[in-house]
Amino acid sequence: MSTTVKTEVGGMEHFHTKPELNYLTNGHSIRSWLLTEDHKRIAMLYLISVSFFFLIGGLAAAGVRYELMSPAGNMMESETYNKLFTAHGAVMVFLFLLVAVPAVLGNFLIPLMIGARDLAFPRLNLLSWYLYMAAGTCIMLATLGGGVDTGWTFYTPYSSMYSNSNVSLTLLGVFLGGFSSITTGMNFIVTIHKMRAPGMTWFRLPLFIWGHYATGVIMLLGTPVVAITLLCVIFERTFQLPIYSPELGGDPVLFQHMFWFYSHPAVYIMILPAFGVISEIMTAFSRKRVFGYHMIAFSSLAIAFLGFLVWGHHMFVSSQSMYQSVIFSLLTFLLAVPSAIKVWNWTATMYKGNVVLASPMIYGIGFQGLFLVGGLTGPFLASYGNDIHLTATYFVVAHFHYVMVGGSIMGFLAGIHFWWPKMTGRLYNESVAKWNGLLVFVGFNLTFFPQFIVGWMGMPRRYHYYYFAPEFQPYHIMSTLGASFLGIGFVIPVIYMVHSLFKGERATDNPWNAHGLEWNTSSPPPTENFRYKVIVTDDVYDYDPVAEHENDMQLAGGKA
Amino acid sequence: MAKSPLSAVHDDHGGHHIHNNSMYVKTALTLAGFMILTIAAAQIDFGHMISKQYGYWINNLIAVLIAVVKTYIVVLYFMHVKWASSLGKLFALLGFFFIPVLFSVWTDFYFRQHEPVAHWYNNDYVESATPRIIGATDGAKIAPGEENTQNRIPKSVW
Amino acid sequence: MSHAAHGDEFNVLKFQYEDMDQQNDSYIVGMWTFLVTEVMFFGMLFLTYSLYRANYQNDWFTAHEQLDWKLGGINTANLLFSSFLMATAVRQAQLKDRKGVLLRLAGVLACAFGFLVIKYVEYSGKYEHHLFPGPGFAPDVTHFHGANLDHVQLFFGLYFAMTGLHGVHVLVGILVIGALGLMWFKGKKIVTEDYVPTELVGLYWHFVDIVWIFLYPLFYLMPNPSVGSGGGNH
Ligand SMILES: [Cu+2]
Repeated sequence: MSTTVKTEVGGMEHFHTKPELNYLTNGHSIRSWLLTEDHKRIAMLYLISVSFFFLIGGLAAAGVRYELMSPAGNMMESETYNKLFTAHGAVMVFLFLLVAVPAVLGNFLIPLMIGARDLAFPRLNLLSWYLYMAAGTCIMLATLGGGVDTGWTFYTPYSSMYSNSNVSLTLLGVFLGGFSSITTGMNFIVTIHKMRAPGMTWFRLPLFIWGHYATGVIMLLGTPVVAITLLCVIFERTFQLPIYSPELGGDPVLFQHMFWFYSHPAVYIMILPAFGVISEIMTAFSRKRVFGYHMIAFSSLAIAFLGFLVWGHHMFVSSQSMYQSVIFSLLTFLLAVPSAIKVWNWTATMYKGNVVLASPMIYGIGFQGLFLVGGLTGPFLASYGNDIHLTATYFVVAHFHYVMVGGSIMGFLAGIHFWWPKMTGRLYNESVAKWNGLLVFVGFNLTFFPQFIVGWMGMPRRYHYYYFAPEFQPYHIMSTLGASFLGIGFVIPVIYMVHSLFKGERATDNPWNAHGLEWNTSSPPPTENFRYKVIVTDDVYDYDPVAEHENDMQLAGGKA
Repeated sequence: MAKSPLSAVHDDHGGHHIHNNSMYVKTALTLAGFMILTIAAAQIDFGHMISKQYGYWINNLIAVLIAVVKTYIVVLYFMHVKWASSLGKLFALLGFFFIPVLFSVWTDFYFRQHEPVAHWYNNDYVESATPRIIGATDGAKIAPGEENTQNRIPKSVW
Repeated sequence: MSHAAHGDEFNVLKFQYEDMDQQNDSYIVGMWTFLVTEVMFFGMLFLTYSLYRANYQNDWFTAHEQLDWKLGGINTANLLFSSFLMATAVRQAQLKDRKGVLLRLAGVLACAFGFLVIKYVEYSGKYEHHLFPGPGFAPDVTHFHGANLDHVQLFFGLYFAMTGLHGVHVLVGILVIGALGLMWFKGKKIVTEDYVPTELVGLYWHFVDIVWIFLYPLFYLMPNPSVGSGGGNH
């Protein structure tokens, strides 16, 4: 286990905590939650709010799947359908995926993992949650008060000139959400640079931290670009300032450039933190040091940088120059390399390890399988010629759902299962969790694999009917059936997690016998994170049998 | 305050220097000089002086270069980056270094000139980008230069 | 500098930091990460500007003649002077000279107000001449020597968007500097004990100046593309 020098820390009087209190019991008033500066409480606030928005986005998805069971398009109007899939996309992307892993797990764990008392800017952290809630309120008001029909990409000139729906309010929400993301990114970067405990060198950082560092860089460099781009659309709609207006000689394709300049890297905001989670879980449950630590760490940074050079692959058919498209196609292929390095290294970590199939590992292995399919269908779409055929079909839909749901959400679930005992001090029902992992995996594949096939056959996305090709119906029915399983698979964890809060067994400090500073403090941690001064003297992921044996002796009450 | 030998993290000391007033005065005067230079340079017609083809671009280049130099001076002296920790320097320059990546969007607009199809800024309007008259059955378009007010969203609609 | 609380007063060293060095460097790096986002924020607008300007050189040159380079120049000098005052205010903060800081911050505020007043004069002039884009855009055609008015409208769209956003930043600057000045006036320990809060506001204000350093030559001092090259576009 990580060696820590246990001396009393001066200045702890700031917290006035009694030894028996943890961060959850240190204050029970609503005020103590809503005005908290404690990163762990803010993470819990985020957890509750992202779960709520996930539910909303999921309901919209249910509506979409319900409609597509029949080729006739007879359940709802086109207009309603457009608003439904826009609500699904906007809520899931801006209010769930971009936020879930970094703002919940990152917020909770970064200070714990580097041995800090809090993030560098706790108040900014709270502000970021309020900005996020303001964003959520705007998007919810816009969605419930009539809806938006532009799709989550808000392409001009439709969004700026023609759409007769609540575009501006939604864009305002996305704009505010962007600032929430920026403040989170600033906090992560400064915290990782400046708040590491003595002895916590860069190459002793858990890979979770490397993933979040890369995420923070993308948040800083990308988010402001999309914020101003969308603000310009608001300007066009409300002040009639022409920015992209084609009728005046402006270029709507410029909007797409700027939108994807952020929104492709945004994919990495969603997936890099999940990569970090999986790195932790793979090594913890293989009981073995992660294979190729440095390569995984640097591939995160490589993804963050290269991710900014490939946005044009979203614009192969939107009047982007074909020469430019060829370059973007090539760069996109290059980007597959760092992602592949990660997957390869995780597999190599499991190889000859003592693999423990605990519930986080089930989700983690599920992640690997799904991300592999999602990742490998990427090159199909990165090929310029091939993409002309596949653009705006269900193939694309299936591809990014494999990456986003199969990657980001599976990573989120894996992380929540892994750190739930640390976050709440309770153990959930392990066997139900394992079976649920299987259900999610099967349900997911049943939902999205048929979409690859039907997309390849030509089913266009964003259509609410397909009477021109009724032979697509079996695939859609399979997909809807799978989505029902998937929905159940997302509800069950909520039930057993909440149940564990009241009836669950109490967790020990290190229930998984994992390695890392966060497992050295109590479960749940005290408000000040560590009751002693943290000094790190050993390497990261130092899983070795002798040390584990010693640790067991310590836990059993041997000499300290 | 003695530093712990183990404190590998925060060994950078940022801007504790207190500078002479003269440093600030010199910086401000230099900036003022550049300001006058940029106004003066804009009055010179390099088109007549140097080259008919490139004179305009020389003017622009000078204007932007002066602005870059001024920025550099402000960042270095007024914003104390010259004396900042290496981490401070890194993040001070990160944004400015990343601007060229953003400007690589230009390559698309450059390449489009060499496409074998009409491009958007050719002063004659690209057909597909021209708004159609809503309700017209023959696909009639709004004439170039004519104001397109149809279906513009009134201010009150959010 | 121990972690001990300064009596019941506001603790200058926040609980999450070990010492003032760590805290101050974190604040400054944090401010710079914020300015990174601001650079990218304005960068996108400058990119849009550069693309449109390169494509509509003559029309935009004609449009830019509507702007008064003298008023813009006064504002440039104004912001430069306020930047200088701000920098020296930080110096006085390092010397813990309360009066000196207050005096200079008042000067910065005066400059900032002056900037907005001049901007107001410019904007209202444009508005009166119906140069604000949208349905009300109906300029006197004789001023534009046959330039394509659509492109002129595009020019004013970006002019109002970019200088407007810069103006919003000036406005925020006034609020922040005002709040800082109030804290100095009240002698709050968070600003008087340590110069870094003043430095952070200074960094922001210098950034606002930097944006204008680019906006001024790009909008007010365009060279004439048709003089040297015989009047042809492109
Ligand atoms: Cu992409």
